Amino acid sequence: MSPVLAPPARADHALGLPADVLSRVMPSIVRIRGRGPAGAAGVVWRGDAVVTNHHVVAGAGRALRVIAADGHAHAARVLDASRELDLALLEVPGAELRPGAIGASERLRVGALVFAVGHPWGQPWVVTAGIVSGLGTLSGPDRAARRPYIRSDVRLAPGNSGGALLDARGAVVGVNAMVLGGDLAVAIPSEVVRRWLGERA
Amino acid sequence: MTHVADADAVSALSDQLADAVERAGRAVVQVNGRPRQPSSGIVYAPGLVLAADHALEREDDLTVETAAGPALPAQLVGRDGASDLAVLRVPGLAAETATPAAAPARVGQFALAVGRPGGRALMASIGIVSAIGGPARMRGGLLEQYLRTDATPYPGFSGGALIDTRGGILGLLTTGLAGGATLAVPVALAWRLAEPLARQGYLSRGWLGIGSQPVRIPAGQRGGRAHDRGLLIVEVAPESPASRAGLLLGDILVTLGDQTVDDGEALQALLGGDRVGRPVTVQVIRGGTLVALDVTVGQRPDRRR
Repeated sequence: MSPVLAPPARADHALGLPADVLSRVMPSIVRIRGRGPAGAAGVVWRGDAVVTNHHVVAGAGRALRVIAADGHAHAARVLDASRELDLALLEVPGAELRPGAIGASERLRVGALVFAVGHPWGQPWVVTAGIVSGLGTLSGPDRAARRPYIRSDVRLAPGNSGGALLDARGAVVGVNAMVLGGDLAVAIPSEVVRRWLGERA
Repeated sequence: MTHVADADAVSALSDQLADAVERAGRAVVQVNGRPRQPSSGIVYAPGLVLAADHALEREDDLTVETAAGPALPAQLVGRDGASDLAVLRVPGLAAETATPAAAPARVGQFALAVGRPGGRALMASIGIVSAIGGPARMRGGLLEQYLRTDATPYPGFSGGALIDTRGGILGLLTTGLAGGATLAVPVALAWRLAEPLARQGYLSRGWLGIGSQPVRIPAGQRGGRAHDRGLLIVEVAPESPASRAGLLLGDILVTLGDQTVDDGEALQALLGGDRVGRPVTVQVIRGGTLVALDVTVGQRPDRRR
């Protein structure tokens, strides 16, 4: 079940985020364009820093652009990246983007409402709704350490990668990363992102 | 629409859904009964678990796990293919007993699919009750009623619970009944069928032992009856109730007891478990003439036994 809304969004759906929450959150989600035609999403962590997936920016080089909700395209560069965590931190020099409110992913419960914001199939700023389907660990791409993930039934598509998973209050609780088995959305918990950023500081 | 959702209301709904999953999840167990993917089950009475029949690929070496673990040995006490239900007895099972929803399912209401498909971890997805259907003819008999949902059935969700937003059970999930569609056996029906499954190991289902196809009977060949439909008998199983009663290939079955028989569904519906072992008069048209025969209805054989 995925009520799809594009800005200016009106969350009239019973499962929707309230419109005022949505309009506050939207500027904290950006579009990312690399070398390829397929765009992705990112979450504004600081005014001039955006978190996204590693697989989104790998090989993008100087072509990397961050497009804000106001349509403005900023040049960006990869400040740091972890293939293992599938996370990348982008620097957007001179930008004053609106950082998202970061939520406590460790307090999420199975069944809680979540909302994904991204650009599925290139459609800009689309919201999909669902619930937390599972909390647990999955082994990484290299089958190395098992890491915590949030699994949900929100509908994701190419273009959602790197975008935000929001809780019912509009706080960022995860970074959407992939879809398993066609219908299981997997997000990296905000706590994992926070720890990664803390470690590199 | 002028309604504007309130932030606190959305948060409250989110908490309520998580509470519902947690509550129902205490009675949802992991069932290990096939080589790879475990399935789910619902504790419907102390020490008794309802599971999905199709997910039990063996009858021995079954185990059940709760969130707390460890794996407990489970004994298969009954199973039925047509409703895709199986009953397991699990000595020492400490899980809570599931609570049926306060009201029967309604089309359009929110519904959550809850399972425990592996690693003892609870999983859930959300949707609505999409349809209420039945009776429907399944392999091995008639299913009185079923629910359909658009909630995502993750692998291993069969045997799990479809619940309402308060954690009450609406039905037992299965993707094994109709080509992978996500259905649920309504809770009242599932609980009712569990009783004979636990007591005698199978569901009583009436059986004649015929294969048939519905036909329209031309005027002048109706044996003096006005009704123009019946079931042309194209197969009579050896040693079956039909064979013992003298039914023949080419007979057209038109009544069973005092009911007319227009098609296979109607016949199935008339062959309830209460008829097993009892004689009933059937009428067939044989060579244009109406013939009455007495058949003692048998128990439908389970192809696995």
